[in-house]
Amino acid sequence: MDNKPFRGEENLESWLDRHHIDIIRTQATNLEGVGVGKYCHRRKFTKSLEDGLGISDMSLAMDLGGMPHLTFWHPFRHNTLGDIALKPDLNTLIPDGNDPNLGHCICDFIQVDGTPINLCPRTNLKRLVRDITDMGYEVKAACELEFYLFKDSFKDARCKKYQNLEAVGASKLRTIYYLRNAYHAKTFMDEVTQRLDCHGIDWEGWSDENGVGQVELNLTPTDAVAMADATVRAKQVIYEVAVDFDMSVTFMAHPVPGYSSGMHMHHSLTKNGEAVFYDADQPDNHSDLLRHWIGGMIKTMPGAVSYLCPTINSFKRMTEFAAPPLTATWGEENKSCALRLVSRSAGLTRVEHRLGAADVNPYLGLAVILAGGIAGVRHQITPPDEFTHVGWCLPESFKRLPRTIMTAVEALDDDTLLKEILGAEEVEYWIKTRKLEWLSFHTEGGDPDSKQATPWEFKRYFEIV
Amino acid sequence: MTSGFEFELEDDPVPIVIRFRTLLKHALANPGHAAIARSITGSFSLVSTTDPQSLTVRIDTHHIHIRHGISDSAKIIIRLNFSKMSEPGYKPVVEGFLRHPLFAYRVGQLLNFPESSWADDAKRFWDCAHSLTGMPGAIKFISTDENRDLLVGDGEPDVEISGESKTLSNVLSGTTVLIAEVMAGKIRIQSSLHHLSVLSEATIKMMLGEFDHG
Repeated sequence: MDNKPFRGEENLESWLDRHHIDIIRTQATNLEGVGVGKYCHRRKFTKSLEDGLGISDMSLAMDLGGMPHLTFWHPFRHNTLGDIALKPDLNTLIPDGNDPNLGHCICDFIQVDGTPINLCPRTNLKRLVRDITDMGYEVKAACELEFYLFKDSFKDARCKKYQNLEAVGASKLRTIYYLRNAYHAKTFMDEVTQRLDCHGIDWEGWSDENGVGQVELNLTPTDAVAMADATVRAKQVIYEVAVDFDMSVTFMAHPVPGYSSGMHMHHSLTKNGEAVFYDADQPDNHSDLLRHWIGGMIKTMPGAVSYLCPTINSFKRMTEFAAPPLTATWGEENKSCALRLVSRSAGLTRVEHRLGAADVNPYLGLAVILAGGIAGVRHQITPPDEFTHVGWCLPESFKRLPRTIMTAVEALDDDTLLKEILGAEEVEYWIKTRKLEWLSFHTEGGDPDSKQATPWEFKRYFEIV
Repeated sequence: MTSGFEFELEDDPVPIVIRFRTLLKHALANPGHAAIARSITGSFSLVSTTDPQSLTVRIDTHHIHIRHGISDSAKIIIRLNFSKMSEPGYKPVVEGFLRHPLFAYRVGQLLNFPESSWADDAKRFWDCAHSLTGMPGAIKFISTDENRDLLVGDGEPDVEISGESKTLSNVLSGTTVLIAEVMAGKIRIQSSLHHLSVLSEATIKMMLGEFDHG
């Protein structure tokens, strides 16, 4: 039996029969990047295809502490505690492959009358991809997932308040690509990659990363929405393997002193399969489209930080010479810039956006990146000159990107381009969620002067982001 | 400027710093309080006994600088529970009182913010917040201890909010947040979720001084 996703090539009932699927786990991603959904009986699932499965509107509008958003409003909400719905996208229906009766399906949040909800991160990303399609291009993306792996179970980690956990690795050296370190994670990652294979999620490789116990998993480029789907699924798989192995894992951006976890996002545009960021007639191989695309991403980058670094903890990653970029710069093969361009051949041409923290919502992260590119093309924005130096430890006079959740919010609030493309109402709602995160941190015990993760951050983020 | 005072906050201020600017601004609108502030020169720090929040206020002629954290230059350090500081009879612990008794006395007077009636607070809240998107057209406030009510806005009230006078005053002046007081059972409300959310947002805006201009 194959593990290919259902693509509508055959009757749904026959496909479910062929894969012996009795239960389908529906999964949508809320604003905070948290997977929500229900395990549904097959009968209920197939009945829900038209109108969706009812779910509380709180599921989309809830903070990472589990509190519904009760200090601001969005018109998608109901005046009383009401239902919205999860609309299954059958293109994402897959057999679990590991659990013989289980299937999985990604959903969009919709109103119970079938109206789309623009605040739904997946819906918003789909809309931007459609904008790019209308411009005549296809967009491919790939995410790199970084996380920390610990020998302690989640239960033990909770008892230790998520601190001083035993990282997986051969040594305490902060190394990278060390095969001896990677070998300690191999049994775990073998299980992860086997389950990814079962889910039909293509991956390219994984390796030991800089931090002790830090692992990076690279997914194979695919359509932008499919990549965000694959990313949230891969994160769920990694979490589940950790649970099954009595270990723990976190996608917090900065859970331990030293190296942080990011989510670098690569993307490229094609037209009829041809790379349109590439122009062999230009000395630098950069097409005019790429120039404007970069111009837009650079111009919107300060505001985009809010989406790409969504939590209090995300910003603890933003330190000099520690891999994350701190300036709105771009450079060919320059990993100290926010945008690393690879343009040496048509097939390889892409932009690697290096700002995203590991706790970014991949739908919103990709959406804000693409929104910047679209803005650049729409408004014919010229990028600054290529940055050919090292992007860290620059003189104080060099303009830095926002380094805190509220300065990022201010930059986003000032960004008319992102509001134009992502939707003003949606951006304004997001700003309110970030302000809530800031208020919660400062008024519920967070220490504003700590450079490391505080107990408040561990409690709020370790198991959820 | 407020009563001749100019406020200066740290870059990227934390909520407690913004909240204290709001509290001091409102207090200094009272001439008696402004006179007390003019008699103070130097720094004092306030430190929460329940969480890591702290701030330092430095008064220098007509300038009031506020930043988070405890300053080495603080003449006195006041350790307190911020959520209880407005309760009658609440006594914080003051370090440095013996070395700077007059300074400590004046700071104590300054932080004894002038009381306003819940009805005045309700009117002021309505003046500030009524034009926010999604606000109800009219609200009925009921003081349960005074057995008195007040209607703000036009027409039949969409929302009814009741509680003890002091609790109402705290919510409406931005000392506390509406939803938190509702969940704590201190305030009763008859409202849609929409209005409850927007009203709670308005109380946060009061707290952070976002309705203040200049």
